[in-house]
Order: sequence, then structure tokens, then C-alpha cells
Amino acid sequence: MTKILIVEDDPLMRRLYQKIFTFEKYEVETAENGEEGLEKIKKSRPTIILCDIMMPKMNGLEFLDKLKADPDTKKIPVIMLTNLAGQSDAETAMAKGAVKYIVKSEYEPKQIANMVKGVLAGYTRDTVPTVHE
Amino acid sequence: MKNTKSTYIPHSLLFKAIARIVVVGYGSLALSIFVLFTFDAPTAAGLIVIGFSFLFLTLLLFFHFSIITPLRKMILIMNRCRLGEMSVRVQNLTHDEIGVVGETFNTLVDALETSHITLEKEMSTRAKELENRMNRVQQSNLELDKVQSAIINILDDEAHSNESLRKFQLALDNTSDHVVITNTDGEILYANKAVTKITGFQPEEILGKNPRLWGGLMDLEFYQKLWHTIKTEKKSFVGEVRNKRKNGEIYFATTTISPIVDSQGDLLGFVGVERDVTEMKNYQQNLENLVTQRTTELKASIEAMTKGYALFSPTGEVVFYNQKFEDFLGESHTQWTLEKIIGKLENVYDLKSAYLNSLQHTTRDQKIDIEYSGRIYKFTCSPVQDESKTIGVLFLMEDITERRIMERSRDEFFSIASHELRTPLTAIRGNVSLIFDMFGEEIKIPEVKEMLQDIHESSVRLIGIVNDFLNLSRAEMGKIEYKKQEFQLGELIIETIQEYQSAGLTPNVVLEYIEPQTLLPSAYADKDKVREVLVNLIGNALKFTHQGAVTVSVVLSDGNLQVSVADTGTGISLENQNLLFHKFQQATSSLYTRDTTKGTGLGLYISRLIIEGMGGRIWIVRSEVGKGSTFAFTLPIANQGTSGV
Repeated sequence: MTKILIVEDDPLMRRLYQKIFTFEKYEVETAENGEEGLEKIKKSRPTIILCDIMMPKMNGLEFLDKLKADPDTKKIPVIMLTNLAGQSDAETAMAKGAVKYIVKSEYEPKQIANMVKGVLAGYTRDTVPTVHE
Repeated sequence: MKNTKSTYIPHSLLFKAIARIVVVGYGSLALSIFVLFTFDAPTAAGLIVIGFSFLFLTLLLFFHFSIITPLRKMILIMNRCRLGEMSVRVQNLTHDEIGVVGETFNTLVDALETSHITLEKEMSTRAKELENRMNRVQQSNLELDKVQSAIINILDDEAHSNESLRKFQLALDNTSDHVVITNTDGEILYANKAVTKITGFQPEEILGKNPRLWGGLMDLEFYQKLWHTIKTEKKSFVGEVRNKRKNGEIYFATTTISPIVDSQGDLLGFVGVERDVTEMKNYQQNLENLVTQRTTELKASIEAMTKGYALFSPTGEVVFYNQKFEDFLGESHTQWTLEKIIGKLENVYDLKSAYLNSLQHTTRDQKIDIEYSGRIYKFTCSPVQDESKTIGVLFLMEDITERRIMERSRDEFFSIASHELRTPLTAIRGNVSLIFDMFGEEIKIPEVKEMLQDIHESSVRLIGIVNDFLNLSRAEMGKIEYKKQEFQLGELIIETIQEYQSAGLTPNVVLEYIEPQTLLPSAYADKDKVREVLVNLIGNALKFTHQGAVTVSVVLSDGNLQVSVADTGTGISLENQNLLFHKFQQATSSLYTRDTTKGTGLGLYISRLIIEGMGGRIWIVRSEVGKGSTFAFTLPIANQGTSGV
């Protein structure tokens, strides 16, 4: 079974995503922030990670850095969840190795599920791309 | 003369009496001596006779010399006096009664002479005066004749006849200006009827008098100048005078005084024309008062302004500034000059250029967000024009610090609120969708299903509004970053149209892209933002079109790419067209009739901000109620200079 880790501080969103992926027959693990997310990963490795950017204690970007720095975890695809104003952060995250970013308010549950499916079907990334400026 | 003679003592009688006594005296003396010598022996009686005779003779002689002679002299002198010789006096006065009589007589004659001289003098003065007067009258008549003929000559060479003079007088009498003709001494020879109207004097009253009768209220300098001009320079004098009417009322008049000069250049007199301008003057005074009042009011208003205000003249003087202006500059000066102000603002604003541009090119300069000594200002420098003539330059300093802080916090509030709204709204929408996804088949009751659908639609609409707000506040704050790139506009249009088509269209409406005949250059813009605008325009067109077609086309126009979106929809009336592209404006103007199902009305406004932000233009090409509308926008094309990114 595909295992998905959802790292999101807002319980409303966390529970919503949890339901979406439970409905889609994933094994769902949740964390309230980056720190908790890292702990969850140590226990059991997920197939894919959905991660919010703005979170207390450890934000999404720091979490991504830690993940990509660890050879054991760097291959796990990470999709960033963001809001409209956080677009520049989302792009930074892409540069740091995230595979996609999703503006939370723009999509219906089904579309989000499809996006995750698409990522899983397509590829997993091994390397961090270099940033072009 | 007989009377006069009888009042005097007949001097011959006295004289004869004395003469007789003398003769008798001498006779008896001579007789005694004869007797004495004839009778050889002097007898005592003879000696006594001789002695008495001698005594008597001596007495007689004494009388003759000390009384008779002075008396005779006095009588002579009196007679001379009587004949009019007033300079004679009694000489060698003795210290006796005769002398006293002589002195008294002299005093009498002195007094007589004095009164006589006075009388004579008076007589001659009177005679002279009389003569002068006669002369003057004669001269006046002469002058009047000369003046009249001169005037006639001036007016009309042929008009020597009395008829002309009469006409001339008639003309003068009928004018409302008062005309006075004087001789060279300023004595009035002629005055027309208007003189009464203006001065209150009848013409007859003032003939021969000086116009000072109603004038003379101006200062000495004025009259000196007047006389110098008309008498010495022989030129006309024009001035404004303050005169007094017969009833004491002060009036104002413009006066023109011209010398009358004959052909030899000799001065004959003067013509003065006076026009009563009291009413005009009063009117002018009222006007001036009004101007002063308005100026005071205006100054007070300017002082009360919250803006710093300074007015410069075209020659660079500081005409006026208010207290706020000094407060803002943070320095008070007894005499501000333009240079000082320019120097003071040197580091933040080029006032010199702004001033010169205002003056020379009548351009208005406005700079916002100028930071000066810890505050934020808006500076405005604009020409002050009076019938297309620049009469000054106005410089305004407006402290916008508070406003900026307010705006910033408002924008931040807007932004934060939008974000905070979006998460719960997304949760509502997501959960309702999920209910349909997970349990759709289990919802048996149609009402429940409809209620859930309405909740979903509400959340969708709300998210749309919040997104618009957020986009708007970011666009207005200039926070939108445009990631410009080269791309084929045609491809983007086709993609967008396909999205709409796959989402499903109203059955009777066609959405199509009319491909251009020739290959068009690439656009240089932010592709995602252009997509937003296209979605907005096509979305609007589809919303308001119930039958027909929505067509999108691209042409090259003036070196730009021009995209047009035309529909066959409801159209927009002319008055409502003006409201488009503004905040919260839907084409239906009223707040009550706005169609809230069709968006916030922010779409076109945001589109405008986006297109303008990328250097393009957006506008309504045409619109007619019932026939449809066409909207267009332009985008810059990619060229050598810009495509290298």
C-alpha cells in the first residue's frame, strides 16, 4: 500500500487531506510540523510527502533541507502545499528539490488526488537540480 | 475863497498900526534932537523930552523886532499853508508865548500834512486800481476773443461764424464733462452747464474766479506738476483729482487741462475738462475692498491648510507661504528666497527644474513618497495660470506619513484577512466535495443533496472573491512581479479556449479563435498573467452571451500585439462603459441591480492593472446593447533588445 505523509499545522486542512487520501486507499500518516514529520519518517518511511510551508517550530523549507541532506530520505518525492501569497517560497522549495507545489485553495480534493497520483506514476527524483538565475 | 479870507486876521491893519507907532516915535525923537541942537543950551526940560523920546523909541523897536516881526513871519507862513504849501514850518522859534504859538501851529500843520499825504496816496491807489481793472476787463475780453477764435480754428477752419460758435457752445453745454476755459492766470472766462452738475456752482457764479473754488484739495506737488506741465511745457495735463462741490461734498474726477496756444506759440489760456468719476471710484473702492476681503479670507484659508503652501512669482520671488510650509521645512526664516528653499530640499527634490518647467512649459510636477526629515511627503509644483499666461508657480508640500501608514496597514489587513479566509473556505469546499465523492450514493434525500451543493457553490464563489481581493491588493501595492518571457500568443489563446471548451459551454454559444493570416511575432510578457486576463475577458464574454459566438483574434497594431475578444452578448450601455475597468464596477451601475453571481466586478480592474503593469493597454472597442461587445488589450512584442532574457 502507498504510504503518504501529510505535514500540515492547520487541523482543518490536515483532516481534509487525511480524508482525501484515506478515501483513495492510501496509508495516511500526519504530522503537525517539520519536527514531528522527521520523527514520523524515522519510524516508517513514506512513499510520498505532502508538506505545508508555513508551520511553527520547523517550517516546510527547513524540513525539506533536512530531508534532502539525508541520503536515506532524499529520494522521497515531496509535494509542497502553499497559499497564493507563498508562491516565491514554493519556487524556492522547487529549487531545493520539491517535485511540485500545489496552491491549496485552487483545487478540489479530486484534483489534488490526481496530482499526487501523477507524481507517483511519473517519477521519483534522486538529485537536487541546480538553480538557474 | 472869500470865506477862508475872513477867518484870518486882516494882517494889514496890525501892520499899519505898528507902522504908525514907529513913525510917531521916530518923528518925536527927531523933533527932540532938532530942538535940542537948535536951542544951544540944553534945557532940563529938553533933556527930559529927549530921554522920554529915546525910551519910547527903544520900546517901539523892541516891539517891532520881538513881536511884530515873528508875527508877520507866522502870518506869511500861514498864508502859504493856506495856499496849499504844506511843507513850510515856522523857523527860529523863541522861548516865549510867540514861540509856543509857533510850535502849536507847526504841530497843526504836521497833522494836516500827514492826513493830506494819506489822502493823496489813497486817491492815487484808487485811481490805479480802477485803471487796472479796466485793463483787465479789456484784456479778458481780448483773451476770450482770442480763445474763442483759437478754439474755432482748432475745431473747424471754416467755422468763423457765430453760428459755429453757438453750435460749439451748445455742444459744450450738452456734454456731461464739465468744460472750463480760463486765461493764463487761471481766471475762468467760460464754463459750460455741466459745471453745475459736477461742482454745484452756476457758470455765472464762477466767471472771473479761479477753479480753486472747487479744487485745491490735492497736495502742493500735484499743483506744481500741473502748472509746470501746462504753463512751462505747454502740454496737456491728465490726472485724477479730489475736489469739493459747492455743498462741501467730496467728489473724484479725471481732469484734462490743455494750454491754448496761438499760432506764434504764445499762451492764451487753458481749457480744462473734468469728468466725475466718483461713482466709478466708489465702485472701484468697493471692488478693492472686496479684493482685500477675499485675499484675507484666502490667506486665512491657506494658513488653515494642512498642506505646506508657497507661491513663487515668475521672477523667482517668494510671494507667499504659510506657517505649515515653514513647519515642514523645519526652519523659520524672516526672508525665504526660492534659492534657500531649493537648497533646503536639494537632497530629496529638484525644485529648481520643477519650477522652471512649470514656468516655461506649464508642466505640473508631482512626486509622492518623498522622505524628508523623518516624514513622508507628496510634493506638487504647478503653474498658476491666468488666461493662458503663467503668473506664478505654486509649490505644495503634503505630509502623507499617516496616510501611508494607514494604507500599509489596510493593505496588510486585506492580505492577512484574505489568507485567513481562504483556509477555512477551502476546508468547506473540500469537505463538501469529499462528501459527494465518498458518500454521494448514500445521499438519498434530494433536498440534502441540493443544500450540500449550495454550500459547495457558496464556498467556490467566496474563494473567488477572496482571490480577487488578494490579487487586487497585491496589484495595487505594486507587488505583482512580472516574469516576462517570449511566447506565442496564439498558442496561449488556443490553450485557454480549450480549457473552457472542456469545461463545457452553453449549447447555443460558439467559442473560437480566428487564426491570423500571417505569422505574428512573439509576445514579451508574463504568460501566466496574460492567461489570467484572457480567462477574465473570455469568461465575461461567455457569462453575458446566451446565443451566438465569442471570438478571439490577434493582430499586429502599431508595433504591438493586439488581442480582441468579441461577443454577441447583452452589450453595455454607453454610460456604463465609463465605469468599466474601475474597482468593483460591474457594467450595471446600481448597487441593487448588480449581479453577484457574476463576480465582484474586480476582474476588469485587475486585468487593467496587470496589462498596464506589463506596458500594454486595455479598453472597450465597441459595445451596443443587445448586439454585443468587443474588448481589446495590447502586449509588447519580443524584439532583439528584450528577447535575450
